[in-house]
Amino acid sequence: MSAAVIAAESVCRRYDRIPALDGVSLSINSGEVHGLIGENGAGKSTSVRILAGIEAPDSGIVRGDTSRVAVVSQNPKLAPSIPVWQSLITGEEPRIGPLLDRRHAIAGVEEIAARFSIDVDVRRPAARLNQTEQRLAALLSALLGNPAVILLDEPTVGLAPVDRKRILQTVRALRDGGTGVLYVSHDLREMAEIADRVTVLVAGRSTVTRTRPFVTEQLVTDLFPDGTDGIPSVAEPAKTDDDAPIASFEELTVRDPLGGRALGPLSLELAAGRITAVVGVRESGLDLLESYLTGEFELSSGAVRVRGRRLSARLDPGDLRSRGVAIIPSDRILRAAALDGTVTENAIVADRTRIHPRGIRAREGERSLTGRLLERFGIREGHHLPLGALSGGTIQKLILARELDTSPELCIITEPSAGLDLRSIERLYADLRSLAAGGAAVLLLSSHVDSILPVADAIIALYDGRISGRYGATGKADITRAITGLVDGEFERTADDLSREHRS
Amino acid sequence: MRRPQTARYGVVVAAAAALLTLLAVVLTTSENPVATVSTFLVGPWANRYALGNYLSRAALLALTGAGVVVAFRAGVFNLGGEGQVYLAALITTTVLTGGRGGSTGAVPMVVPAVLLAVIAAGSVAGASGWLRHRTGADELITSFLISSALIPIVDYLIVGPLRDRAGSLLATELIPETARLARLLAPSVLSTGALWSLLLLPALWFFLTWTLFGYELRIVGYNHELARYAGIRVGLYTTIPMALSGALHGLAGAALVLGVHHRSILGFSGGLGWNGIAVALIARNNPVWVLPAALFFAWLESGARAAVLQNQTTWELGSLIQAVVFLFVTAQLIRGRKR
Repeated sequence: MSAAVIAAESVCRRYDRIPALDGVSLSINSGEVHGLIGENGAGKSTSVRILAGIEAPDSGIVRGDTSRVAVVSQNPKLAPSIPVWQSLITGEEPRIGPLLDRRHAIAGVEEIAARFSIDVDVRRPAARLNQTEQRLAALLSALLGNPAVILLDEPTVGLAPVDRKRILQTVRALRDGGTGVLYVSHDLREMAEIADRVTVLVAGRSTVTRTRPFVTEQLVTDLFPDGTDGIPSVAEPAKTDDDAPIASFEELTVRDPLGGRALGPLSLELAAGRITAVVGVRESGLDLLESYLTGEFELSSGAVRVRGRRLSARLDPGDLRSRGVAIIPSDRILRAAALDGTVTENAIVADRTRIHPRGIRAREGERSLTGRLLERFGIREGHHLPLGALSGGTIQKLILARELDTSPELCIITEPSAGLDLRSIERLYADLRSLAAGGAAVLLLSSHVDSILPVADAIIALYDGRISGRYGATGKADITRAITGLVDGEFERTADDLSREHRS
Repeated sequence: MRRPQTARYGVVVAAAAALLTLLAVVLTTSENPVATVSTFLVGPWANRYALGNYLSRAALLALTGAGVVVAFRAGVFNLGGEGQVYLAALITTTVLTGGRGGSTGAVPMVVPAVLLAVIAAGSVAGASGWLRHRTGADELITSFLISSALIPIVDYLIVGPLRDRAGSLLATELIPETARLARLLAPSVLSTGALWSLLLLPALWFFLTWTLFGYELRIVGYNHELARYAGIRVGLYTTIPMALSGALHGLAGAALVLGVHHRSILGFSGGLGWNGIAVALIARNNPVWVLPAALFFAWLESGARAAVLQNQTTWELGSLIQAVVFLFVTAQLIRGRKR
């Protein structure tokens, strides 16, 4: 066994007297993928910051040269308007005299990209890259410094299976090249697939390190030493087959003004008491559907009705809210949170008029609402911390809790399980079931078949902008085939056929 | 939770750096360092006259500083404070001197004069906010450009059509005595106008932290996307805070005329706009800290003036110290924004 390149020993770290890490020991060897798993708030991100030397531990030691550790963040910072390679070489520009040596710069970046089979066009401006490509670019940026250890903080969260594969492939190439990799995730199957060793974090403490081969059941027990109890189970919702659906999409089509891709015509009905899921890779049109629903893109044709009333071609999020529609976008951190604001300021944003009766803030209402939201997913943080000080998963939970708390008639969630740990996913699904049981319609947009299978009553598969299959809560294999284009689907059928089929 | 701590620490560092610069420059250049330093530090409090002038200056800076804070909390930047103060001052003077010649009807005209000045300055700044919302034109640039265009126009009016031909100053006529604000610490220029800041700052604090309007304004300042997502009208909270910012600058201009100079003098409001930004930065855009920040900044200004008047140092020292404070506070702000 090779020696550790970097190691943490009994590291502790507190924020505002709340311990984030309470005795973490782990070591990363060269040429290994070391997995780090734990629930949201278990201290994964803090461990990463300490190993990278971004933060110093309150007690305990970090051995090794932190200057040779590179962190790849989930949300990379690239200048949106300039070519990616220019962002990447900043500070290390190759020169000819006083001038930038463009040819060498691009060649250098592309050479490293090729060596680790990172498939990104670095000549494009960052604004034109999709989420996967931006993450790959961030990985590339970390690799340019030739690090001995690379820390990946949930690199595949929110990505479609195809794109996960791209990232995992790159991680393997890194390991085979002798780099040590710390791989943070709470996806156990992904862990079992990629990691050589796995360290388990429970409430800020590293409890155990397992080595290959892993038994997934064992890891689950490690993660939840107290068992998975405490997660409330909810009775099956009463499926009311109401005649008038809460919302209906009628031959909706959305076109991407830049890329030329299109979605639709798409017809579906969202009935009270039912959880409907639309699945597909994001580029199959799932992203376009989200862009329309969040008011970014205009509807090209067709209509969306909520309670029989037709919505405008360009949606106004405020208008949707007043009609009892809650939407949670996939990029929650950027679009649904204020990182500089406090937890309370973020918590009350949907319900702000009730918190400010006659325009003046009511302290008590504010406190009880924030407390209720935090409690829903068992978040322990203080009300007055800036939101940005919380871990990504905790922020996700707060945003979900905030929207669910408005008791919407129609609840639309994109990538529902993104960034959540197992317990929180269970909690979310229980909440969605009781929301539906209470007479609401739920629409999930997901690029992970697995994540919506346990909760959806009806599943609609998208491929290349069209519906390629409709399913009950059954066969995963069929759905997977449908979203990867292995089923003919509804391509040649008319809208009339579609609606007839759907009714039957 | 880490940032606010470093932030407070940063202001202390800025203040310490300013004092060290002062000592370093004085020790290397002054013939009598001890006297210079003590004049600089104690000058503003040396006597009634100095103290009154110092407090008067601090009160004006608190108004413009508050103006910058309102805009900044909504995520917009009013860089046109200089022109807004100047314009409002001239409007106040013109209304109260009845345009050309004659000082008719003084007292009943005071409130309309101030209102007109405040509305004019508010509209000029509000226009930049509205342009930002409508066309995407950067309010930082437009407010600066509009202000830069206003200054020479006001200059022209003061030395041209509105000039008091009887006097030798490049200034307008004096406003009638009945329209002037009462002086508090004669012979200094401190007037009841200083109380305006004392009343307005708590009101501003309440408005920003306790009202729905203030809450929505803050959310827009944090993240436009979130505001849009939550159904907050982003355009409204781009235009209104800019207009409020302009209005507060306008009020400072009115106070400058009614309480301090009783007329408009060429370039007499210079620095109130820019130094208001410095005050807002030192106060970290928190209304609670605007008054202490204004007192600190006015102290530096008045100390430098006192030392200069006694021929112990040069004007550059005052500017140098202000520059050091500005540099440190701004650097801190930028570091705080980078995450």
